[in-house]
Amino acid sequence: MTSPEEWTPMDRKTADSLLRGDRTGHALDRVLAAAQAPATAAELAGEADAMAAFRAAAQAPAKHRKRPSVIQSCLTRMLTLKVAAVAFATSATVGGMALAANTGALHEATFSAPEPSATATSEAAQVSPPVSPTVSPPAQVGTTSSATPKKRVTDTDLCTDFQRNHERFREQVRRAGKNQVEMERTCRTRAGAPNTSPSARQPSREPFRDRNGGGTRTPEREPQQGGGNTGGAGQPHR
Amino acid sequence: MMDAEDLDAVVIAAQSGDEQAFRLLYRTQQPALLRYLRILVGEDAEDVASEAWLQIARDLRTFSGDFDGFRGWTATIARHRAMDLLRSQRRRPQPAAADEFLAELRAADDTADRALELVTTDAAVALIAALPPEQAEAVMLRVVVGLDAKSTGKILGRRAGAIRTAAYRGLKNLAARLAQPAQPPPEQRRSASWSNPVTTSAAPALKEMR
Repeated sequence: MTSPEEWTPMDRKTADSLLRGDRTGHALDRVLAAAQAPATAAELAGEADAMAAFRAAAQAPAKHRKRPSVIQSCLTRMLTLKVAAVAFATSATVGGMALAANTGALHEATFSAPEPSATATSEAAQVSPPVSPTVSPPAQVGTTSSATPKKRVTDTDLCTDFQRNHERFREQVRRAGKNQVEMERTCRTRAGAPNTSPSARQPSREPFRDRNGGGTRTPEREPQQGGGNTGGAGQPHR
Repeated sequence: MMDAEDLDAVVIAAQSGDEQAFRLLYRTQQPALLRYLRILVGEDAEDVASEAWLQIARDLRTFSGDFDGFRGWTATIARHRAMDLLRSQRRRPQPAAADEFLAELRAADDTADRALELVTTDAAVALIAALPPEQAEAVMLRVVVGLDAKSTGKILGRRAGAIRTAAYRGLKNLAARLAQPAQPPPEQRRSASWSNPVTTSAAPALKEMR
């Protein structure tokens, strides 16, 4: 029969001993010992599968350590992206400028750029309403109509630099092996059309327009730039 | 049973690709994981355990720590896989029912000590599984998986103090349940105290348990 002390109520000390795996003389000894009993064959039935998984993992290319590097890899990835983006932007700008300068396409790109897009958008504007009311068709036509918009973008970048940060502009132009004065002219001329830029240096603009004899184009821009030229600071003053 | 330092070395060996080391880890740890899973998912414990081992084998190289850490790591993986299963089945933890084992305990002999001599691993696990879930998990992780209160708390997302209390209450409950059939007026006491401590729905599962 049961010995009386075997059924003493559980106290904290006995519980701690039991949890540590000590024998306490309590009835739970046997229950916990049974729960901890060595493995039976049935319990190890999955051994072959586990071993197969282990071999498969060993053959797979060694993965880099996941745990410590989750944050690291995220940071690294972001940094890599940023560096790549900066490198791309720089090379695109500088390289694009150099290429344009070499092939002499700079002027073409600069001056012919507004036209294709303008005609494309006007065409799109004419065509699209009957076809569909969505906005996307005109946008597609505008972008795919010619290759010049690409060049225009890089020029725009450079000219943005010109307007905002002269130091960087000079640096970029110098790197591109481009004549700075000529580039400034280009930018000023360009600046006239889309955003009516300040371009305070009026004198350099005049000979440029004369020399290129932009008979067809300059008249369009003259009226726009008239105020900006005299004001020198452009929009804010107007 | 190997001592702890040897097993630490075994973990490292397995991480560097030693098959025999991994086999030893499996044989050492699998029973504990399986019994722990038994209280979480009942009859699905074998399936969940094999899923857990697939992941353990795959991610072993990402683990860093000694054998104690390995115990906690594998228990965490096993628990996650069990929770995945429960989520997918949209059910609450459904441990192996203790009814049948308790019935066997009663049937074998009217005295509890006689019955306890025959207590099997399955019966013991089923008895623990019949505890309230948090107590059952605390007892299993501490006693069977062999984790300390802190590691257990990490796995269960609770403080070590709460784990100590839960384990203590679990053992107290367990002792009370064992004590009751041995008390003098057996018939009445038994019918009252053994009135269905867990859901009866899991009873068919016991047929499949080994």
